[in-house]
Amino acid sequence: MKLNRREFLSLSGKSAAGAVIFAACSIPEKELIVQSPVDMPEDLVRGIDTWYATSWNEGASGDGILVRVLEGRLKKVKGNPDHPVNRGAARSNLDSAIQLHYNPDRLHDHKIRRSKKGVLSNISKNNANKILEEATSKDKKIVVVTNPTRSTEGWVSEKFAKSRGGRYLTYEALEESNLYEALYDIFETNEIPHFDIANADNVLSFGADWIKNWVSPAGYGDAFGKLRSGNRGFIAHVEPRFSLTAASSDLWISPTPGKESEIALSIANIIIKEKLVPDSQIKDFLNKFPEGKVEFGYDPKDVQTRTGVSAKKINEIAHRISIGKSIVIAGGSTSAYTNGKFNTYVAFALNVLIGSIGKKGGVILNPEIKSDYIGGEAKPNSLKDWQEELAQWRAGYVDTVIIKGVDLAYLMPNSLDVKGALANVENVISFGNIMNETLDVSDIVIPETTFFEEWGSEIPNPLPGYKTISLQQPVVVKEGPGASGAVSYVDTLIDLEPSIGSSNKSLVKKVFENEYSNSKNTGSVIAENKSSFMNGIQQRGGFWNTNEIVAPKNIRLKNPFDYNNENNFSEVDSSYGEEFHLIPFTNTLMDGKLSNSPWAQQSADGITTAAWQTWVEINSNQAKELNIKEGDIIFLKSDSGEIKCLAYPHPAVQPGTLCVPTGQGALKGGRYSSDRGSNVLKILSEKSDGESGAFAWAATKVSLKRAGGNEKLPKFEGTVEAFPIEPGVPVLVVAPGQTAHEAEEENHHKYQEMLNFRKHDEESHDEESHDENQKTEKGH
Amino acid sequence: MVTEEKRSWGMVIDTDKCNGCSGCVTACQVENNIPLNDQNKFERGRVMSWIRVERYWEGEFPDVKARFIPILCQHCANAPCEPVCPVYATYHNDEGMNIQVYNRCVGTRYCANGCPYIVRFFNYWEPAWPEDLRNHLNPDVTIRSRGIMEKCSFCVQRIKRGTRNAKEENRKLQDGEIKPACQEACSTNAITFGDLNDPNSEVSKLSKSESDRKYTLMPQLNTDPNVMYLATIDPLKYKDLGEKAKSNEH
Repeated sequence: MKLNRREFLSLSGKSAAGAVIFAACSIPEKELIVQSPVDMPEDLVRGIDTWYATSWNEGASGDGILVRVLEGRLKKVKGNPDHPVNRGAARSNLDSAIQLHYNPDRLHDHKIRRSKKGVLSNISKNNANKILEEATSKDKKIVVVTNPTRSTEGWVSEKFAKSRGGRYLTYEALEESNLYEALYDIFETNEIPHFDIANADNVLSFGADWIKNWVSPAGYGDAFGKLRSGNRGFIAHVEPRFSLTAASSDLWISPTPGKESEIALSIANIIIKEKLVPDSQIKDFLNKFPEGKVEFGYDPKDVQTRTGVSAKKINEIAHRISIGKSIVIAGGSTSAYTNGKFNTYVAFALNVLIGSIGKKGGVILNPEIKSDYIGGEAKPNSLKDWQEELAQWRAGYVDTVIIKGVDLAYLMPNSLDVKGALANVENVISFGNIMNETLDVSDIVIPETTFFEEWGSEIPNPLPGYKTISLQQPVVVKEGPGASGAVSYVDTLIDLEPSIGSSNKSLVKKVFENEYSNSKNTGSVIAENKSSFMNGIQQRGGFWNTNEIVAPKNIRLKNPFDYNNENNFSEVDSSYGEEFHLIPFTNTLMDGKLSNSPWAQQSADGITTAAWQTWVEINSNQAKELNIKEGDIIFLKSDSGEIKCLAYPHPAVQPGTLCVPTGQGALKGGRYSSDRGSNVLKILSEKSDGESGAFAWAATKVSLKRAGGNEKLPKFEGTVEAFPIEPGVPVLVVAPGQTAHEAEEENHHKYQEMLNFRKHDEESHDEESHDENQKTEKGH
Repeated sequence: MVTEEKRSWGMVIDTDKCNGCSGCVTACQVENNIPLNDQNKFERGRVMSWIRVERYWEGEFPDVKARFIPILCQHCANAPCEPVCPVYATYHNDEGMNIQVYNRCVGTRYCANGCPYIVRFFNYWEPAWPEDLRNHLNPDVTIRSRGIMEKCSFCVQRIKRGTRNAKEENRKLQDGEIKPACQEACSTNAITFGDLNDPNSEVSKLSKSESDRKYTLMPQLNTDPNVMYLATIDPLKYKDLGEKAKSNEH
């Protein structure tokens, strides 16, 4: 058949159209089923959703997460079951991050302050960039500040500071540099080990609230569930405060604050004296300890007198952790006294005594990962570092400070006067999503993208026992709904110093391309080329290699008594009111990172059920003595300031201590965070560990004063009416081997007995009253 | 073609694994478009929470314990909320679930009065989210208006999506394939959900292990709940470590 040009084009057009029509008809069956109104259930609007694997550096320690995106909008966050750190488990606060992205108070414009006493006003991005270039020129003395991170972001921060001959620092409000110091001294590593809780028979933790907020609660939560399955493990927790970990433990020990090391050494005393472990382990433990110090100085009865903890409980723990697979963890408040490093070291040293290092169900040391494009440290700078740094700022020796991801003005205690120091820095440049106290005193404010919009790579903390690098990838487009105007922190620094790289995305890709080259087809992603490898990384949410582990090493303990182990507290104004130990703690709001999320704000505290406010926990009996009732307005005064809180008495507070959550009291913030509650971080005393210079944030004493008023404490407790019911209802407690039915019967009998006693008491009381009346009558 | 099976959805909650983190509560709020609980709602006792974690004290310092239990609609077979509804807005479906039909509800609140577990919530106010926050609303779930009752649906939208996917792919629904938001968010795996009619499902095995820790809430009312609990284990229940703990207090 001979076709001319016109006929050929005409036929081609028809057949192309036919192909399109055919393709349109070929989706059919599935779509028709999906769309069938007959099959439409109540409440179902069908949409096609996509789940992306990513991670959140600032709020979730590099845990793997999956984000549900529907029509370009974030809908849900959950744990990534593929990721080795959290194995699908999620933190209670993960979803709250969505509300930071879609926050109605999110910043969309660059802002500038023309003079230190002026106000912030909007400026175009181009003009802001010009000012930024000038403020960060090579002749300026620059300091870059972020939260502790080991990521591409950290690497760029380091590089940028170095390119200007400046410094890179990190800040964490309730910092744990003592944890890293102690770990380094024992295990010679900068990595927090993998605590194999899931396979342990017994877990003893000191201070670390690993169930709620310490280090990697999602991964630890998963391990907790496994520990409580099958051959159920035992948990003992040592902490003056009744945290969620204390509440979830089988045995809670509440020593006098700062005396945790006495408990650890007393446990060692029992194990050594009763030879509960092999001699070689005792020898390893006592290696450098002063002779006889542990054996004679920490008898449980003496320790009971010094710490207020029953010798029987110490004995119970010593015997439990000496058998089976046991593990000892320390951190949190245990490391936050003036003897914090000593406390932490001694607690971790128990692992040497019970022989748990490098074993299944014990302490698995993590490899130290080197990557060309990942920088920064998990260990934050200490209070001592910061005191020195702020002195530089105050003296005007620093021209420009770049702050990202950390609200210094909110997080630092009053006594450090960071606002005063920032006032003497010529250019304060801050990145942020929502206005905060630091942005409010900055000279240039840059609206920043959220982690949902940004590339990143990071080393999780802690690692799961082997090499792992988490991927952060954009799951929604930049400039998407609710997110206009925001720019990338890393790309901004790269624009200012192009020698660092071409873009954030390219640096992140390089991290994983290096892994492709080095992994030699081993690890979580195996691919034929770099491009396929990167696809695999994006699907799984990172790269991990179970073969890259740390080689076993001999642990040689030092003599911790060489450390400065003096335990002292700040001074209080005794004329103001009663003296108490102040124990600050983080809950769902973390250190305020999530206080702009209403979901985080409304998440009732596990112990008090309070929300949206700052409360102070006080022992119920002590509150009665002081005539303090729930909701009473209380002022707490330290040598660093004063705050107002609402009282919440409960039975699980150690008398003499007060516990106050962080996260509230922002002077500047969005509608959900500002002018709400008080900021307990402000009144922390500037005490530090004499050995390491770490911030001793649990070494503050306060005096308490009742203001005389009472406000309703917003709490969930009481929303649902509690019925007068018998014991064991609704939370039934059984002994090992006891059935629910047996426990119910036992409780019922106890209840009946109790009622009978009460009846008997009432009857005898009635008889007595009757006699009394008769006597009175006779007397008349 | 795989034939449709008769299912009975149920849940077992192991209180020994519940650490009171409230992850389930937030996940439920997010999944089901539950109105924001602002400070005012907390102060007025009008917090809406389809699942809540109750905390019970036991003893005094230093021998004090906090016991946690997540409470949600028990999806009772003999649900006291169902016969009292004058408009059949709440009914029992053939998959063992207690269903609330929002557009039938006229807000008499009789069902809430009838429920002994206090897990039904009335919309006293029109739910409101700032414009930007509306972006995160789940399109799978209807937003309830003022004047109607709502409660845990066992994440019916997930059940429908899961069963439909299996049907489309001409395969059997796998045990554990459908997870309500609370179960998915529970880091300790304290919550198990599944088909009670399937003898091989995890939830079925846990619910039938009569020899050990299974119990239901308020069994004396004979509501026959589809939510069951496993008792908390206290290894030191009968051990005297100095100070003696007092009996349960609420």
